[in-house]
This record gives sequence, C-alpha cells and structure tokens, in this order.
Amino acid sequence: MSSYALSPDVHDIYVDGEQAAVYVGDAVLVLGPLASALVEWVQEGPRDIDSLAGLAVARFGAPGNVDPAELIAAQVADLCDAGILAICPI
Amino acid sequence: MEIDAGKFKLLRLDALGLRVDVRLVGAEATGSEPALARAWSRCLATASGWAADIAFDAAIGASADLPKGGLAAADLPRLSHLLSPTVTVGVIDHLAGEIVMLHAAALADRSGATAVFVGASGAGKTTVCRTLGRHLGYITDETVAIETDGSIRMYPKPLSVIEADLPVKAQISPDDLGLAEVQARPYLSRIHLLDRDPGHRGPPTIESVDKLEALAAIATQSSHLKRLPRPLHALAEVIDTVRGVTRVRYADATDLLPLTDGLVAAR
Repeated sequence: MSSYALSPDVHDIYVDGEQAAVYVGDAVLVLGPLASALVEWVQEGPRDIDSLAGLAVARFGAPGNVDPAELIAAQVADLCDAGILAICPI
Repeated sequence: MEIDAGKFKLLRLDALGLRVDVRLVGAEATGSEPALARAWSRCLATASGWAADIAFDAAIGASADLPKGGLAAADLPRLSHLLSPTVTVGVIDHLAGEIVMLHAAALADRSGATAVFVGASGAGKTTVCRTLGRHLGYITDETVAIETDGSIRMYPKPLSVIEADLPVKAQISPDDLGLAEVQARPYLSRIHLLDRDPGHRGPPTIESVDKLEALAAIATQSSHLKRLPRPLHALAEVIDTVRGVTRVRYADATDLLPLTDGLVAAR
C-alpha cells in the first residue's frame, strides 16, 4: 500500500481553527477540516490510507454508509492532484 | 562603446526605500530630463552621498548605444511609459525575500494611518487614488511594501492616465493631479480587497473577509511572497495587524468619497 507525504512544492501551511491555507506552487488553497487534518497528519511522517482513515474516524467519527478508507483515498487523490501530497518515496 | 559622461543626465529616484539611478543617455533623453523629473516629482531623491541600489540606462531613439539591460524607446511618451514598470520591477526584485509587497494602492490620513487597497491590474487602484487622493495622502497606486512593524514604504510614482492624443498611457505626477501629500510616517491601518462592479447598485458595501480567504486572495496579489520565510505566516501577521481584511464592492470610485474616513480608520 502506498504512503503519502507532503509535497516538496508546498511552501507554507497556515492553520486557522479546523481549516488550513496551503501555499503550493503559485497558488494558495484553502482546505476544509478533513483535508486540513490529512495535511496535518502527513506532516508527522508518511502515512498510508488505512492509517489516515483510522485517524480520521477517531477525530471526526465514522462516516454513514461509506467505507472510511474509500472516502480518505478520494480526498488524498484530490490533494495529490492539487500538488499538496505526493506518493512516497518523493 | 563607452558613453561619454558629459552626454547623460541622472534621474535619481527613491522608490520603496531604494535608491534608483536612471541614466538618461543621448541628446533626446537628456533633453527629456525635466519632463521625466516632473512626472516623478514625489520620488526625486534628495539625499546626499548617494550610492545607487539599482542603476540602468535609458535612451530615446533606435540608434542609442546602450549597455545590456538598458531601456530604449522611440519617443518620450513611450520611454516614460516603460520607465515606470522598469523601476517597479527593479525595486521589487531587489527587495524579494526582505519585505511583504502587495499589488495595491495606499492612501494615508493626516496621522499616517494608511488604507491599503489590494487589487490586480485593472482593478481600479489608480482610479481610487485619483478620487480619494485629493483628501488622503498619496503613497502609491502600484506596490505597497509593509515592514514587520506595520510601517509602509513610500512609492508615490507617476499615475498612468489615458490621454486621447498619446499612443500609450501618460505618466502624470501626483502633483499635477492634485493629490495630497503624506503628512506623517505612514503605518498600516486597514486592508481592503477592491471589488469594482459596474453592476453594483446603491452605496458601496464593506464586508469582512474570512482570514484564510483573505490570505489566498492577497497572496495572489503579492510580489515574491514565496521568497519570504514562512510566507503565509508573514502575510497572516500583516492581516492580524489590521484585525482582518474587508472587501469593498462599489460601482464607481466616486461612490467611495462619503466613506473616506471610515476606509482608513482602524477596526
């Protein structure tokens, strides 16, 4: 299973409450609470989807009828597309 | 070929706290010195013992023999038109990584309290300066540099004005536009995002902007932000200084006149 880390293209992250602004490339993107939490967790070290899903359930509770891992995988894919996360090794 | 020292004139400018030497080379350019000095009247350097931070040559005509990096134009209006962005880019490149710089206009009241109006090119910064600048001191219509203590560097450059008989925008001195001078050391009091909307009805609206949204909006209107250490944190400190950012939505700059004092007053 792949692990994910913060992309080297990220210049800075500013956290305000449950949300964060991420300066990546030439853009500043504002992230919602779940995406902000994922970015927070990968800053502690590379994490795989199951690890991130476990942390997400612990913080936000289990999602309704959705597999947490699927939900997190989709969110991680979006963050990778935005250049914020990258698959390890970078 | 060496340029004969007797064949140039110096235009010495103070821009964002930097010393800029523009060497006007050749007969046409040297003859244009009074006009250029007039346009840059508020930026003319008065300090002695000058050592330039930035220096470049400028000439009129295709036959000018300029060193690499020199500025050449066909005539005075075009040279004047090119000079302004050349100076601006030169100073912001020189200051990269040292200070927060925003694409913004700035105007100060008599105490030095300064309103910064952030906006992209064409957002209305110059028009706001021409309108409110008769009552508030003109700091700049282009680039605002903010120190960590909240003080603001002066850059009262010429304003670009469309004139029917010129091939490019004319560069007009703030003195010739009747803009007020800054009376006290300017310091940051408010930050507004300019949102000119010709379809807006009624008086201007001023609304608070979420901090992260403001960070994102202002970051896109900054210069060399990523060269600063922890750039978003540096910008957030600036926003905290003014207790948040506001968005000003208006149809015409004259609609802002009744709000002049409120636009500058601290929150």
